[in-house]
Amino acid sequence: MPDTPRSEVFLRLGSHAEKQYVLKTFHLFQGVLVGANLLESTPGATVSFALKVIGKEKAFAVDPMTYTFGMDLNYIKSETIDRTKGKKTTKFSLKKSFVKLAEEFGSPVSDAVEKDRPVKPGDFDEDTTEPFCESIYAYQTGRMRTYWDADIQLQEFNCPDPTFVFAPYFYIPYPQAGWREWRDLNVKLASTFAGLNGEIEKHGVICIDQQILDDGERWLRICRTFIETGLPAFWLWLSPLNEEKISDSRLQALAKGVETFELAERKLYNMHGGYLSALLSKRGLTGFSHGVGYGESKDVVPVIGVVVPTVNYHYPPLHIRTSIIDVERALSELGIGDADDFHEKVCDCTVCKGVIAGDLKNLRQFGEFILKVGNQRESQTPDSAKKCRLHFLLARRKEIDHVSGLPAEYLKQELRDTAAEYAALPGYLTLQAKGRHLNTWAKIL
Amino acid sequence: MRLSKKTSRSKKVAECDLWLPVRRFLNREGYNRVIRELAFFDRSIDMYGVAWDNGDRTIAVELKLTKWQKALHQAALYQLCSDYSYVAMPKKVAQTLVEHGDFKAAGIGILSVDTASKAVEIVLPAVLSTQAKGHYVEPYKEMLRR
Repeated sequence: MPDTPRSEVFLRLGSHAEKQYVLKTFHLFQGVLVGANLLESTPGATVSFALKVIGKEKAFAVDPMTYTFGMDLNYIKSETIDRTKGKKTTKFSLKKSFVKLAEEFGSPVSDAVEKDRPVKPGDFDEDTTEPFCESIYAYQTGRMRTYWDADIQLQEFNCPDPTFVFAPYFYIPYPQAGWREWRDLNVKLASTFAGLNGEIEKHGVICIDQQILDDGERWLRICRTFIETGLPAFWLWLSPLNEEKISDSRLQALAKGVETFELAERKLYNMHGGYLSALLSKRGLTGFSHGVGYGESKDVVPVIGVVVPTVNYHYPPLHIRTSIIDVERALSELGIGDADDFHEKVCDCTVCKGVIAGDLKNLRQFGEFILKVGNQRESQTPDSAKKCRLHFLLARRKEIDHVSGLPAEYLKQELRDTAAEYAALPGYLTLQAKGRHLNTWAKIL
Repeated sequence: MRLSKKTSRSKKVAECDLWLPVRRFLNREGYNRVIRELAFFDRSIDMYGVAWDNGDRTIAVELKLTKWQKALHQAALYQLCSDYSYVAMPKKVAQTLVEHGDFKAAGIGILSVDTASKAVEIVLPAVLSTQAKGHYVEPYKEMLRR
């Protein structure tokens, strides 16, 4: 018998390149979330993917990502080459997928985009709020159907509905000027959305700067205000909260917020979380979502650049990602002499067993690099990144089972013991300083 | 008003200023093949050398001006792919680290570089690495043999 229900984990599909991982592992989790921009940029592939997920009786939902239209529009612009006027010119304009989204969402988003500016709280008056909420609901329930009906191959099947729909949401830039207006707008949108007709379960999103956790009273008041909107479930996006770096005081405030939702019998999910979110299930957190490699923290301000990040090895004892050589260098000090020791003390998932194949020297396959033509720095091989991602997803499932099956007191002691074990390692090992967050996490259990 | 002129004395020392004196030093120590910036996973070893003598010794050197903890961590990782691992730092910094327990415990050596005279000396000798793995060392040796 599990000690508490298993965390409901949703995988976020960031691009169709990630589909291979999600298709192999989504049955291990609660379901899949897809960003509306992905649906707009690759409708056919996204719709057929949704069919596969829902066909396996897993949850599927589309994040409307309305917040992007409340931020600097440069974040969702890109340079395109315009060849229409006879000669090649480059222009910096809104990405096509977001142009389509603005059209679908309608006023006031489409009006603001036309004026090349973000929406403001003042744009939402009595006349526009309800129609906007209706269009966000209609988008999530109907947009896939439009593409579905246009595809001859799909017409013989019924277009599935999403499992739940998100209320429109915008980022609350606490404590910057204007945060109260954004808070009030979000509450109004959630409240209006809750009152809409429609059978599909409606979820709210609280997207706010993590600094709100420094003011515990105000944070709890915000939680209660959202609860009063009447929505049955909420997704919390504390930007750019990093579970490994969270302070004691912020974590205590977060845990109290989680309990507030639990007491009010509202489901609460962490929009971008990891093992700490699984631990918070002991305080009432329903679940969380993350990407496939790994996306356990997200800033509302996007990273703009072309550098492909290295997919490091997810190291289960510390629940962090780290370079595989950090692990390999520490093996002897950790008393890991062979593959059996590794599987007992670090990870015994199918990927690790397959890669290591009885010989620890194969660990390097999780960190192989290659110098690609035209590049000055080496980058991770696709095969190595693939192994790291699949290992992460299998290890994540084991982590949520582990948390679910054991009482809080046991997990607390386990975190403390592991933190002490790594703190006692010699200071020249990089892993020595990487277990400190476990003591912080233990305090909420 | 007198204008100040930059002299060599006021010139800032850069990591690359350590490279040439250290290379000469390694050559004198028998490491006749020394290369810069050798990729090791997502890291880059500042200097890597091989001495083609009895047993073909290999050496990795991490050059750093001030951040010795970072250098220590990197040098410890390079013990996986070299027989001897060193941190090379300007004399002033290097001398303060001689008694540091972590360097001794790890068996990582310290090279002191006098940035004015370019003299290099071993202030803490490295211990033969017990962490060196053939699957990392041998391909590097093979590469440097060519």
